Amino acid sequence: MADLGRFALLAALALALYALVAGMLAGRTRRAEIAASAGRALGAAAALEGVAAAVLLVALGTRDYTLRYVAAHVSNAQPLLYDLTAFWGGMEGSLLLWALVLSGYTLAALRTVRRQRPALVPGVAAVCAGTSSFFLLLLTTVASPFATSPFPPSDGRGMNPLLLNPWMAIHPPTLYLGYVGLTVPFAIVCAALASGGHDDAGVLVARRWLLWAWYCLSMGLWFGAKWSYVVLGWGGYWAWDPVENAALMPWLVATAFIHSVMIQERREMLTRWNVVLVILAFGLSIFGTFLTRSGVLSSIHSFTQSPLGAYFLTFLALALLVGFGLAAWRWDRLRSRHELDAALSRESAFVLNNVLFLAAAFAVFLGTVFPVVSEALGGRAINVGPPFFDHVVVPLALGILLLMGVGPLLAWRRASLDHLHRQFLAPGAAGVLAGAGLLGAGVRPAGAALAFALCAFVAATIALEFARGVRVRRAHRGESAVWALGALVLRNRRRYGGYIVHLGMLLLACGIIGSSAFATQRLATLAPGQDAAIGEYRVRFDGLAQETRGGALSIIGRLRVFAGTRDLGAFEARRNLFLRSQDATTDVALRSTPRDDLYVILAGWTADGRATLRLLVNPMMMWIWAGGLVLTAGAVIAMLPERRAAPQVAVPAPGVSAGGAWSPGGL
Amino acid sequence: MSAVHPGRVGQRRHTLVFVCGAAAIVVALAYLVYGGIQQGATYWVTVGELEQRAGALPARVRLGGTVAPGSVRWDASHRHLRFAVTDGVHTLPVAYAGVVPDIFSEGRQVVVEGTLGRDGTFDATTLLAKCPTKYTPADPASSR
Repeated sequence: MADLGRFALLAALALALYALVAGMLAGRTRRAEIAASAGRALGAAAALEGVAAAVLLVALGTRDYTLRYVAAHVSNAQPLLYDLTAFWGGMEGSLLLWALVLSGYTLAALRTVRRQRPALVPGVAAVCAGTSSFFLLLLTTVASPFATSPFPPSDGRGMNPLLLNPWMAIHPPTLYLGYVGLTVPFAIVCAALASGGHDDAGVLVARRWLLWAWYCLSMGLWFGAKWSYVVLGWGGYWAWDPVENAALMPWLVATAFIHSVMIQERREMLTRWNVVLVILAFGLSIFGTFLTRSGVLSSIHSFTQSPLGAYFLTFLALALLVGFGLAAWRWDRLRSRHELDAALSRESAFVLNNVLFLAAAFAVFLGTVFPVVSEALGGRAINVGPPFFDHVVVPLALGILLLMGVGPLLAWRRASLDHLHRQFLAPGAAGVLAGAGLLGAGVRPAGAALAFALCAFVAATIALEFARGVRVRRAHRGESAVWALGALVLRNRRRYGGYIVHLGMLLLACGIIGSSAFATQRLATLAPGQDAAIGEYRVRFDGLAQETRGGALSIIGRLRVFAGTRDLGAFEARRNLFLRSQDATTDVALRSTPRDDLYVILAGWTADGRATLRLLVNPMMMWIWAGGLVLTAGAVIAMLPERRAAPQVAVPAPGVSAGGAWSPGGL
Repeated sequence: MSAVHPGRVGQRRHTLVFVCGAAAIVVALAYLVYGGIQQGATYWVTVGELEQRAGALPARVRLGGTVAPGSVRWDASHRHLRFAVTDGVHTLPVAYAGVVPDIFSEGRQVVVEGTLGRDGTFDATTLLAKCPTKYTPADPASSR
């Protein structure tokens, strides 16, 4: 069985290398049959990777401990579902998942590109084949999932119990759909640059793919935060950990692209910038995979210990060289058709948006690699922790939030000041009222109250956009308000889907502000019957209990929560000690309401039955999770294909009057 | 391919505004980054370095090592965890009052951040544990 898997991967590597060469050849000679051959080779490679994946899945499902990978991640006591998700629980399996997802994307991309821009097919095939070859090379040399051991154990080690959780089961595949998905826009853009003759450098074709990858990254980050909050049990959801930052950086760059591509669509500007963003996003996704794979930055002195590190960095350097090299070659051809007309316009707002997002990505990057850089430069490794990231990213985020409200109010090309005054009046008033109200009600720190006021401003601008659209529809067609709203959204999916995504981000922002600025925490050691108060809650400790379940000994702290005189129910805070592996997990006692979360951890206990509890009240956590759901709704609406074919050349801004910030159709 | 640019003077002024704006943003970013580094920077040290050169190093440091077997004790009355961290040669006692990561255990690699107290015990404010052999998607972080 293992031999079958090994052979399949080796054959896939050979086919991928062939496809790489064939793709490049087809691009040079422009012979369609060579390109078709490359496509077929990639299809065959995908099938072979599927075979290898099937072999691994079968081995995991049947607990075939002759494979070292299976022995390391599966155990007899582990539920079957998690035996299967162990596919991506370890390094080798996750690399195979990367390759598999990439093959899927490659085949889909080739089909779409063949239909939209057949000239790009050879280039796309070549780049995707090249990336596939890299991962297959790793899988056949240093990171084979099919390594066998001569003396298979009778029982495997099983995965770390922290990973035995639905959120952690879905988090890696989602994140991978995002990471890997950034390869396709990169391939399209490289193909367009290499073949020449495409004024938009393939960016407009790549847009849809990047939007999808962006969405998957968003969801991957969301699932990761949920897992961190619910399973890791430290009371927070984001720690500026290198692995978290690794996914955040491409997300920031992709978000910047989603906005600047609109300028390229409308006014044929910023083509060069968008090309750079696409290449950067791909580079960061490879860098992110590298960071996550090797965990190098938590243990600073093992930076190049793993051989994987050298491979990844080499590939990253090669990819960036190819991408930026092609861009430099075609630089002159990508000149903008138009110029920025005015400093106050939607274009300039989008440019500023891009600058802020890139600044944030740079800051996160700097903070993440700081230990390496400081050691290389100054001889001593210096770590910058969450205070650095918070200090730099928060002002940038507030600036982005402000732009999110201001942007839609500005007209394309040139916004007139008095039109602006009229647009800003109502939302501005909403913001000022909210701020004054919160400050007056005694909400401190003042910065948080002002941040909420900003959120109120942005919410008002979004609401106003919807209201205007509905009003125009009703005036023209006499529809009811609800019908008009539905039709408005469905007929202008990109625009209003985008506004819904903004709304989701706004909810996220409110949740982050609330939980960061107003969280409270206390530690209390209680005997049975005693209670501890936190915020408006009173938590009574009712004693310890023990339970053995699924190979783990659980110590359970039984709790009862009250708010004033109201009994809110019984809760349990557990600590699970896994007998064989010395691992432990925490089950948090969690009570969520839209207002706040009550979060209790069993921190310790004594032999005489007293328990030490860590109690936290995190306000507005549900807003963060709700924001993710709203973002999903908006993204799905925005990604639904338009009824007619999307324009591939920029159209001049339709009917832009002096006050034309709002137009009924499209963006 | 080159479009007709209406008015080269207006063009130059736009470029100037652009460059000034970009410079302003770069300066602002540099200021934020500098402030952030001041706030968040801690030096990486090993146990041996901390013991020998305690005076020469800044107060807040980040220490990597392994949890010495047999040293883990939960102090319920003071509500903090006591253990010792070692680099194989030197050992240092640590006191930590925050959330203990689930994969913390004897023999595992840890990173602590804090200051060396006068009594020779390291007061840790941050504790990160690393799973030695297996790939874990994220380091469980403690509270601050």
